[in-house]
Amino acid sequence: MDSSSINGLSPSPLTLDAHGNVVDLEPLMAIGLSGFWALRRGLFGPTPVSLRLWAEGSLQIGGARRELEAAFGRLSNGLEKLLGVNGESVRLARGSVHAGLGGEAGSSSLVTAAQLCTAALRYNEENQERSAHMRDWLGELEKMSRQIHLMVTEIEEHMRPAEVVQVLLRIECARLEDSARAPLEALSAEISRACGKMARTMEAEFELVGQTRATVEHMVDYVRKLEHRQAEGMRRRDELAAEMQQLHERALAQLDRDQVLNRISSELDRAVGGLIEAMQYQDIVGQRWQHVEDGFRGVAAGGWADRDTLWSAQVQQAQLAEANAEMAEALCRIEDSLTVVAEAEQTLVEEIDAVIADAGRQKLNVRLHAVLFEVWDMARTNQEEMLAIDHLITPLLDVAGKMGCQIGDVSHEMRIIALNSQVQAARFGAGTGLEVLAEGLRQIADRMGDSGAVLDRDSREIEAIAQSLRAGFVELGERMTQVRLECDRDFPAIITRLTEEEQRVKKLLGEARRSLECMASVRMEMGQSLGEAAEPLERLGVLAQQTQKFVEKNVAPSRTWRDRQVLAAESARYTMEAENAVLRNIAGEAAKPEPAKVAPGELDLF
Amino acid sequence: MAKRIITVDDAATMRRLIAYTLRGAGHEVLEAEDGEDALRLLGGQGIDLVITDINMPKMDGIELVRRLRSLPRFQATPILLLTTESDPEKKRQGKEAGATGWITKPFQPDQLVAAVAKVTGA
Repeated sequence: MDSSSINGLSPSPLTLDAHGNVVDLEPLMAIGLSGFWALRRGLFGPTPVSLRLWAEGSLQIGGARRELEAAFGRLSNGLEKLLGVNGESVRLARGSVHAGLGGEAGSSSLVTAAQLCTAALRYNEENQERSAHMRDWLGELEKMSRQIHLMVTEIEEHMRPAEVVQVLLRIECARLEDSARAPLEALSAEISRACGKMARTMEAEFELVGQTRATVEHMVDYVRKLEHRQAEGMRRRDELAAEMQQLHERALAQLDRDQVLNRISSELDRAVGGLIEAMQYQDIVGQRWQHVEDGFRGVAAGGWADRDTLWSAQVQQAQLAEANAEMAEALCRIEDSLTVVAEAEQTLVEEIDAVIADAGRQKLNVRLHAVLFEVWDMARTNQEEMLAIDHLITPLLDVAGKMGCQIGDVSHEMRIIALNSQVQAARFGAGTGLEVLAEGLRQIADRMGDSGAVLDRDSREIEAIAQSLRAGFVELGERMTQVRLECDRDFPAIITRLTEEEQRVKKLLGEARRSLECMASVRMEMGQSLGEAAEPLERLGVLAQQTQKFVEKNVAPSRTWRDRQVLAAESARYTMEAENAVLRNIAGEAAKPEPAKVAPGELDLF
Repeated sequence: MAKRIITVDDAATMRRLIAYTLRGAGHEVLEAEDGEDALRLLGGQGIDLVITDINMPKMDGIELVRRLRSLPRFQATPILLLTTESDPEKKRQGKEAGATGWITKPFQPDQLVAAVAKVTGA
C-alpha cells in the first residue's frame, strides 16, 4: 500500500500534520460522498506515520528492558556484597559480646575470680577471729612470764640464808679443835660450792626468764599491731567484696547488649529480605515488557486501518502503563528497603560505638585487675604474718623447755648437804649450833625444792600455751598458704585471660565497625545503580504518554461483544490482573471476579 | 539439614536472588539459565530439589519437568515452578507434567525457605 495515499485516494488534496491527521477539510468536499466513508477511517484512525510510533516504541521497550537488566545486574552484585558484609558485621558484633566479660568464657573467669576473692577475704575474716583467741592466750603467757620472774626472784631469796649458814659454820669451825674441824670445813666447802652453783643457776634462770618475757612482749606487741592492721583490713575487705560483686554485675549486664544486637540484626535481615523481594520485580515486569514489546511490534506491523490493530494498541498501551507503574513501585520499594537497611546499619554502628565508649568509661578490666591484685596481696601478707608469728613462738618453746631444770638439781644437792649437816650435828652432840645450822639448811633445801617444782610447773604451762598458740597459728598459716597458692595459680591465668578477651573484644568491635562502613559504601553503590535503573523507566513513561495520546485520538471505546472477544484474546497473554484492568478501562465493565488464588510467594502444592 | 538444589531461570538476577536466599539457609545451590543447561548440569549428579521458571528460551520449565520425570532418578525429586505466571491453564500443564508445586513471584526469602523445607523435609 502506498503509505502516502488513503484507501487508494491520492492524499494530494489533503494536508496532513506530523501525526498523519488531516488538517484541511476543503479538498474533502472535492472527493465527494463516495469517498467519505473511505476517508472516515483516515480522519479518525491511524496512519502509517502514526503507527511508526509503535515500531519505535517496541525498540525503546527492548532497549529499556536491556538497560534495566544491566542495572539490576549491578544491583544484584551489590546485594551479594551487602549480604556477605551484613553477615560478617553481625557475626563480629555478636562475637564481641560473647568474647567479653559478659560472654561465657569471660563470665566463668569472673566467677572464678569472685570465688577466689571471697575465699581469700573470708580467710582474712577468720584470721581476725582467731587472732582474738590468740590475744587471750598471749595474755595468759604474759601472766605466766611475770609469775616465773617472781618465782625465780623468790628462789634467789632462799639463797641468802644459805650464805648466813655458811658464815655461822665457819665460826663454829673456828671454835672446834683441829681434829673435829675437818668434816665441818668439808661441809662448809660443799655449802660454798652449792651456793656458787645456785648463783650461776639463778643467773641462767634470770637470763631465760628475761628472754621469755621479752619474747612474750614482742609477740603481744606484734599481735596487737596485727589486729590493728586487720581491723583496717576488715573495712577494706568489705569494700573489695562489694566492688567485686559490682564488677560481676556490670559484666553480666553486657549480656543484655546481646539482645539489642539480636534485635538490630533481625531488623537488618528483614530489610535485606525486603530488598530481595523488591528486586524480583525486575524479572516479573521484564517479562511483561517482553510481551508489550512484541505487542507494539504487532501493532506497528498490523494494518493501520484494521480495527483489531487499534484494540491491540489500546491493550498494549494499558499494559505498558501498568508495567511502568509496577516497575516504578518496585524501584521505590528497593529504595525504601535500602533506607531501612541504612537505618538498621546506623543503629548497629551506634550500638557498637556505645559499647566501646561504655567499656572505655567503665574500665571494667582495669578495676578487676586492681581488685584481684589487692586481694592477692592481702592473701600473701596474711600468710607471711602467720609465718612470722610462728617464728616468734619457736624460741619461746626452746626457752620454756629449759627453765626450772637446773634449780631442781641444785635443790637436790642442798638436801644432801642438809642431811650431811644433820649427821655432823649428831656427831658433835646436842647443844651445838650445828643442829640449828643443819635445820636451817634443810629448810632452805625444802623451800628451794618447792619453788623449783612450781617454777618447773609454770614453765611447762608456758610451753603448753606456746604449743597451742603455735598449733593455732600453724593451722591459720596453712589456710593462708592454701589461699595464697590458689591465688598464685589462678589469678595470673584469670588476669591474662581477661586481658586477652578485652583485646579480642576491641579487635572484633573494630572489625565490625569497619565492616559496617564497608556495608554503607556498598549500599551507596546500590543507590547509584538504582538511579541508573530509573532512567530507562522515565523514557518508557514518555512512550506511555505518547501512545496514550494516540489511543485517545484514534481508538473509540466500543461495547460490542466482538470487541470484548478481541480484547479477551489479546489479554489472555497477560496476567489476570492486567486483563481485568484492561477490561475495566476499555470495556467499561466491572472487573470479573477473580478466582481464589494463592498469594504471591506462597507454595501451592499439587 | 542442607539440601542440594538447582535453580533454573533465564534471568541472572532472579537466579542470584534464589541462590542468596537458599545459601543463606545453608543449602547448596546450582544455577542453570534454561532447561537444556539444567539437564546438562544434572547429567551425572543427584539433586534434592529443582526450582524452575516457566518462560525460558531453548527449553521452558514445563518441558524440563516432563524430561526430568521421564528419568528414573528424578521421578521422586521434588520440582517447584517459581514463576510470574498465575494462569490456571499453565498451572494445570505444570501439574500434568509432574511438578510438585507452584510459587508465584515475588517471594519473600522466608517464604521460599519454608517452601523448600516443606517439600524436601529439610
